[in-house]
Amino acid sequence: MRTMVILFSMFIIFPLSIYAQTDLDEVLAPIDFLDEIDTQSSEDQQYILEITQTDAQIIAENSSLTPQEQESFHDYGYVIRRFDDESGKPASLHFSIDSTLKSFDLVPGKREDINPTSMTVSTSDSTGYQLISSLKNQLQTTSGNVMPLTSCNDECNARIAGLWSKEDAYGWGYTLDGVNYKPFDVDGYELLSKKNYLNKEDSTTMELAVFPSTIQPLGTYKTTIQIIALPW
Amino acid sequence: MVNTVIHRFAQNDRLLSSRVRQLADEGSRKRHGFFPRVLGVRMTKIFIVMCAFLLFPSALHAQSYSLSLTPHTYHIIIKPGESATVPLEVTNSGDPLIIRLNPYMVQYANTSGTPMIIPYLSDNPNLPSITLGDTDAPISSPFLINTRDNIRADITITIPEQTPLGDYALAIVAEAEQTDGFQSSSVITLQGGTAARIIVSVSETGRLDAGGDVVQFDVSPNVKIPFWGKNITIVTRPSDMYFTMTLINTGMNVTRAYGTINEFEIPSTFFMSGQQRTLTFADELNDKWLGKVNAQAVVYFDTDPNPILTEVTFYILPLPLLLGAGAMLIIGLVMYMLSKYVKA
Repeated sequence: MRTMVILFSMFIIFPLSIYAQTDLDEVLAPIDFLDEIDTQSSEDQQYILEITQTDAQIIAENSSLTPQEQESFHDYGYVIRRFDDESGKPASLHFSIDSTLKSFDLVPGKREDINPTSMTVSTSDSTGYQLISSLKNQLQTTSGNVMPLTSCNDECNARIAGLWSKEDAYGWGYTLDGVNYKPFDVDGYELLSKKNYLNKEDSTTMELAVFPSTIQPLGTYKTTIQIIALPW
Repeated sequence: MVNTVIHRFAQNDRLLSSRVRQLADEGSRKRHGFFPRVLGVRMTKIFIVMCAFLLFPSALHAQSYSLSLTPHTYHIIIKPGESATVPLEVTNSGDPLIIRLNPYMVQYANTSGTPMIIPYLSDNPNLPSITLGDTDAPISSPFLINTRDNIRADITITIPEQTPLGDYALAIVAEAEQTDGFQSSSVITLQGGTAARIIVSVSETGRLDAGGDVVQFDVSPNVKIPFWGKNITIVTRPSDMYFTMTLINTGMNVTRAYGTINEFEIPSTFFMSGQQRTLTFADELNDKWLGKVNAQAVVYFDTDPNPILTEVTFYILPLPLLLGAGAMLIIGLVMYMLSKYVKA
């Protein structure tokens, strides 16, 4: 029985002393009074443990992790922060486009304003969104005839919108307000709309317009516009 | 997940072919009943196949896009050499779609926070890799999602030992597969995509240098009137009033700002290192139409328990109301003087 008690005590004490020695070298070396510590006595064991705890507190205070996250980080090597809505469920982002195929009849010299597209974004929490777009390829036929992007009446580009009413201002583009038009961005992404918070949902209406020139070759023109809703 | 997807495809194929067979059998059985007698067995089969073709494109060639991703944001703080798996749920409330989960790297090009996304290729052995579950399968395998269907994808982020410490802003975009369909006219296809953001902070210790500051907090549109050495802010159009708050990340890591303006809760906003973002709040805070207003903002950054406090005091004096009151006063005064004059 006595042997068992001794063995049991050793099992309890041994891991503690190993732990303390390992951490001491790394964590407490700069502290001067460490030299005075005798790791063999049980009183010092308690002393060392207190110092180790203090150091852990300092780490926690300087860290951007909460104490619980700190524990998880040490145990698993990572911490996952998920963002929930008011009901405690994971917050979701929903994006819809009411009509994804916008067909049109190409008549040279005749402008066609394609019926508007409604795009709606909502989040289950109040997180906002950003809606970005990019032109994946030119509006062209399989034989390679390209319809140019609009430059509006004078000058508009993927960043700056402008009026597009001239009778000889050919091309194709889009408007978000029904007044000012822009071409799509072929090189990158352009911000269509954004909101840094959402109460319920937010809608953006986009209207495409195609105005082929009188010498635009006939054919079936196709293109794809990528529209992505990102959380704010 | 891949197995699920493959299983789904197989299931869809089986369902479709079994449905065609069923219809064919029914057609064969009922060819003297439901189907006209003039149609022989061969014609009936052709008719069924045509029906299947008519049905099938409608499933592939969707007219509307309506997808949700849950959750929309993860922040993973992870050690080099480790991997973490997060679930992502895709819900389709629109037409059946073939979609891909495409990974992108998000970059914020300017201070307004406009994002630029770049397809993320996990072929660099020193950068985080993104896979489906714990398989080596590429994340962007296409799969069919039916109306009102939920599909769960387990996204695994693996950080190689050599990955440089720092933040990686990623996005997993559920994108509709581009389908040309059987269009004979010219067509512009709008390819929808719903993104979930995954911010990965690679750190040895979990210690992040996160911090921020409030650069500006004000109300607009306003008129500043100098009065006794101070500027008095007056809002003359309360219906158009909105608050602007510019925040900046002053730390070396990503940070999250949140807090309140009076009782209105500022939603969580992520800032990459050095990034500045301007938030606007309109109708939520605009419940007064006359008098003095004091808006107090309490902004927290990341897990720092000490908030940044800032406030703006202004007076709402609606111009139409003032003009109306002034006009009424003048009219009243004139009426009073006239009555006095008449009496005299």
